[in-house]
Amino acid sequence: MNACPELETLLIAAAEHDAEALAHLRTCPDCAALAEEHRQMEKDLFRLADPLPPPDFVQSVMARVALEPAPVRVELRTGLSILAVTLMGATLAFVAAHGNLGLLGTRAAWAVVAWRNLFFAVSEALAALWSTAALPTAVAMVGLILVSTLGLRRLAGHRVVEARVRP
Amino acid sequence: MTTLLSSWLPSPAALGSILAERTETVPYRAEVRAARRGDRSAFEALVRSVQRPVYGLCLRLLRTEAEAAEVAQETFLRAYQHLGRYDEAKPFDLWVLAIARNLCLDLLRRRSRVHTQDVDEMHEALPSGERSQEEGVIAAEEHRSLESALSTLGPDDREVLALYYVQKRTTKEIAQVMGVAPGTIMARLFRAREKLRRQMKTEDAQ
Repeated sequence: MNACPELETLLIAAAEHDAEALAHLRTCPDCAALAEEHRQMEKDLFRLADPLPPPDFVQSVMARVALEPAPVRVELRTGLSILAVTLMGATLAFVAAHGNLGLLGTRAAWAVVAWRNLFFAVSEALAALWSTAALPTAVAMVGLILVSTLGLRRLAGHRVVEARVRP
Repeated sequence: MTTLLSSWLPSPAALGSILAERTETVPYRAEVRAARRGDRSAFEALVRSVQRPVYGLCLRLLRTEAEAAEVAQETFLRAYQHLGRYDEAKPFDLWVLAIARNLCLDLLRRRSRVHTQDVDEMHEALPSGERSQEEGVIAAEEHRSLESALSTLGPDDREVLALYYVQKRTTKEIAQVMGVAPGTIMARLFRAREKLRRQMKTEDAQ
């Protein structure tokens, strides 16, 4: 008879229906006895069940959950914080860049002093854009409005659900 | 070319069944989505669905009812707080079990020693609602001896045995909860079972 393989290797191989392992178990009474003990133990272990939690378990959990904000609000708050920090950082970087601070000041002064010119320039630019590419502009505007509306609807979705749940 | 492509691409019917299968394999999805939006009744339904395996795992690992209940509660609270981070592609119950496991292991690490009275307390607690059913199948003494031998094992062994035999999880699911490679689970199970077998032999000899 061949020397017995390690029990772990043997039983794992036998569980996977390995022919060699199964043949060894048929011919070696020692290994077969150990395998039988494991099989019996597995049978007993499978009969164990999880205990029931205390009767007030769910109520205790929900009492603690009631003190928490809705997860979507936490997500929204985190997202807005990240956005605010990013925008602030980008603005600071832009302002701090060489020459941008002076340029920004000049532009701001110019806008304050000649706001009429600014308004005129913007309206002229919009008119020019509309006359040259009315359709793409309109499509882009509609798309922007749709995406914003859907985004806002999604973010405010929890309010809709709350309203639906409450009588 | 078209024939070649059509042989590779699934038919619309097959695609439909694949999608349906995918949806079916992730239970609790609707409840999780509603809970994420703040629907507490949906979260309560989730708690009711998975409270027993979560509490059971905590009790197997911690061995005292009070601590198990406290950690299981904390588990659900953490799950609610971090629902935004939950990946819907994975089963919700396994995600919660992984949280429970981590909290239990943290507590076990903080513990300096094991009190024997805790073990006694667990023996009283474990049969719980299942006592009559289980005792009808295996003798009370055998059951007690098995639980007693189980309680002498380390948390890693107790955990893998509880998940596989008590909760009837697959090796893939256990690997997901424990954060290890699925291929290692069978070996872990064997080693835990072998320790249990030796322990029971020692107890029988005494």
